[in-house]
Amino acid sequence: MRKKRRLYLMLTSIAVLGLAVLLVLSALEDSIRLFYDPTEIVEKGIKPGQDFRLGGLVATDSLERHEIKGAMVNKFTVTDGNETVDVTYEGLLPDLFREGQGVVAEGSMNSAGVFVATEVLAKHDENYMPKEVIDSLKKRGEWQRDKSAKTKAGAS
Amino acid sequence: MHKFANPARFMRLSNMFLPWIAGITVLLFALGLYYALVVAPEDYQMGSTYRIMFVHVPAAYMAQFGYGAIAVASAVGFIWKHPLADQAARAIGPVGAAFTALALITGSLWGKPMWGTYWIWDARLTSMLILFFVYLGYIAVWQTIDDHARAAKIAAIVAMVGLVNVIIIKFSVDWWNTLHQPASLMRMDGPTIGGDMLAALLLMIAAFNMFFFTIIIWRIQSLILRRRIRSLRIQLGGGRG
Amino acid sequence: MMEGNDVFLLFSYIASAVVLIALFVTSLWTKKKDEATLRKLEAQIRDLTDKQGKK
Repeated sequence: MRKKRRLYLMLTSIAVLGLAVLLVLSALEDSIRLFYDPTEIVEKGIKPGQDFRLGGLVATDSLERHEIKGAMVNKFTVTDGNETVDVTYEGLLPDLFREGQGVVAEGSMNSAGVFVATEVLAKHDENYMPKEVIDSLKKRGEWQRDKSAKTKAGAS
Repeated sequence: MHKFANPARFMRLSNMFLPWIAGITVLLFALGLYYALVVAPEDYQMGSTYRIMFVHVPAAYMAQFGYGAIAVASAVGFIWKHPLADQAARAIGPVGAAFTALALITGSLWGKPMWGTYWIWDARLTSMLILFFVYLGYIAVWQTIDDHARAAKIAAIVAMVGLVNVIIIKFSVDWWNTLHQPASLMRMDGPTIGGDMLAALLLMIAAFNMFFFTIIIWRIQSLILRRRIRSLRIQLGGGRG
Repeated sequence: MMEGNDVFLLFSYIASAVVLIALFVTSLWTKKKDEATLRKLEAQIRDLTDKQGKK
């Protein structure tokens, strides 16, 4: 009888605690998320100069590199398949930075509506594959690089 | 069930199984490392650096497995008052903390070359750091409370509270947007990693798991021995220690 | 490809080896020490009961 009481006591306390945490987390939703995607940025109309993180995919064929006064300036477009945001970043891009791959950039919008990044991080997707497999898939034209990454960005 | 809760019986059985478990651990590590470093091909994007996953994923998995085991053992100890269940939960504490630390270290060593940063406060990394602190709190309860029954009860409560965090870790990459990628292995539509890469990962996870069992058995044995030492010291005339 | 990153790979395996070996050594060493302590105490108790038996 006492065992049963202890069992019920524990189960109900876990349920209550879980519910409480769930409520807190959903209230904090906005601060727990790491980045905003282009659609949210366009919808929210973020003010120039306000610091935040932008996340999405680097649009294919959008990367331009210019050397201005000895510094490397990178320009690219971040997309979520719906809206796009133009980004400029002065500095070295991480190894995994690729067109069609996920990226998270920190910075703010300037008055021209371009996102000026102070830090650019590459996001890796959950797919691991041997180089040879990709090469043969490419040969047969069956490999679409950003297929899987797109589903994640779209789900956020 | 109470039959297995008998400490003397546990000592006898565990000593019987220990050489086998230890042997399998060595075998799995040899095979796992061979697969991880030699057989598994380079990743199409990350080259060889992705091989960090063969220690990072097992460490992170053991951190959560250890916590799950503490929660189950604590619940059994709390509800049915099994003496051995409390000892098992206590024994896992420091081991789980070590695996959590290892997951954080290897993760940041992987993050720097691939993401471009050692650390970011995203939901996955932050909840994993919280797990480390929950482990420390759990260990502290056992360290600071002398009375065994009371320590077991409070430790069980801490274990239950921390369980919520483990669930958050698992789903953090799905519920919020994070820099950390979603799961590759434990997912509804099957793993997104295959062939020898998957074989290497599974072998290393199995190796870490058997290693965990080996040292947990020693640690439970230690705790049982220490209880006996304590009662013998009292028999010898209130000897301190 | 990316040879410069091999140092991160190396460090992560070294860190893993250090943690696993530390866990292994401390767990086994503590158990051996506790076994030795217990044996010593059991011997003491046996001596004590022997002495009491002789009186």
